[in-house]
Amino acid sequence: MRARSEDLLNLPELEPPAAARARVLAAMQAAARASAPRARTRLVRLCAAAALAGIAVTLALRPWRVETPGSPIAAPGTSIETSNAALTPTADDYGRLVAESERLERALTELPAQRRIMRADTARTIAGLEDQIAAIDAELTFAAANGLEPEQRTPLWRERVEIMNALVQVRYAQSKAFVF
Amino acid sequence: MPRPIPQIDLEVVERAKRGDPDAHAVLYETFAPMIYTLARRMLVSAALAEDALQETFVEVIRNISKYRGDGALGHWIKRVAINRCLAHLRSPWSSRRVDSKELERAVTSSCDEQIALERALAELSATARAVVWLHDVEGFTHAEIATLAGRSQSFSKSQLARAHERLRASLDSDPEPERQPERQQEPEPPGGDLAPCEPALKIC
Repeated sequence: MRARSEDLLNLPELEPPAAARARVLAAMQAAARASAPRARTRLVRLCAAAALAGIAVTLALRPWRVETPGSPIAAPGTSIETSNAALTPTADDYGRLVAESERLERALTELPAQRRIMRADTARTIAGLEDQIAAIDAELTFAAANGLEPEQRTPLWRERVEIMNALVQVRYAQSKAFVF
Repeated sequence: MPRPIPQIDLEVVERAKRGDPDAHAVLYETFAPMIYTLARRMLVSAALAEDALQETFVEVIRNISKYRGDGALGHWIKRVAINRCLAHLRSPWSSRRVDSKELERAVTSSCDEQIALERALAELSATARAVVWLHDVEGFTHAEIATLAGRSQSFSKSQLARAHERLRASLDSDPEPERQPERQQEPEPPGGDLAPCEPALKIC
């Protein structure tokens, strides 16, 4: 049968129909656009953090500033601290976000089971959020497999917590909603 | 010796990750023949093969950000394509019969021996065809095929043995490749041998 296998190997390679090219490329572009929003969100966040850091530096270096010995540039807990934390995530952030994510997961399991009948837009929202979480989980798995440090994975965990939070809220509201 | 897999520059991959349409076009030109050939041989139907081609590229674009260049991109794309084809074969919506028109369209060669072989391959059951193509042409082991199909290795071995037997019988009794096909392929039940199962291969 070896000869037959070789015959199979020698069968010609097939070119897809010319008409398929434009259709597939359009679908690829649409898929790329659909995948882009999360990356854009991250970029916007990074830009916002960088802008806040810039403002902080400007305020710190401003010539008209009246400085008293030992006076802090900003009070703890202000946006300046937040922006610095966003730029350089720490191990604390990582641990806090993972713990928060676990808490939200528990909260989600404690909610009553999803109603079998629900509004289409609610179902779509829930499915969309669940898809986003699944996509982040896949990225987290991949990041861990590639040996990324916890600090480098922090932005993904932050995003996961935000989406989990939204999901818990939608699920909670939906569980309380009156079904007609 | 399986078919060689096309290579592509990492720079193109990086551009594709950023959504560059030109890079997408390069990806398409490089891998479309490989994917389409695989899909046509496994699914026979040209329409289903085109669907599988499009679905594969869409899935590749959706997940290309996870590709870090630690393995051949072509291997990864091929796995995605195989999963798409197997999903079509498992689907109760896909027709599992190959009609005479499709059978004629499945013949792409010009040499008599190859015409007979293509026709014999297309006449195999969907499962047997998938197993024989994955094993003999793509170089998958029985263990890998079993994982892909969600079945045991002995299933893969018996399917391959049966497929070889039918190919041999079909080719030995078919000295005239130009003749019209006389018999239709036996229908398989929906889900058939490739029963729906959890996708065994994850994109990584």
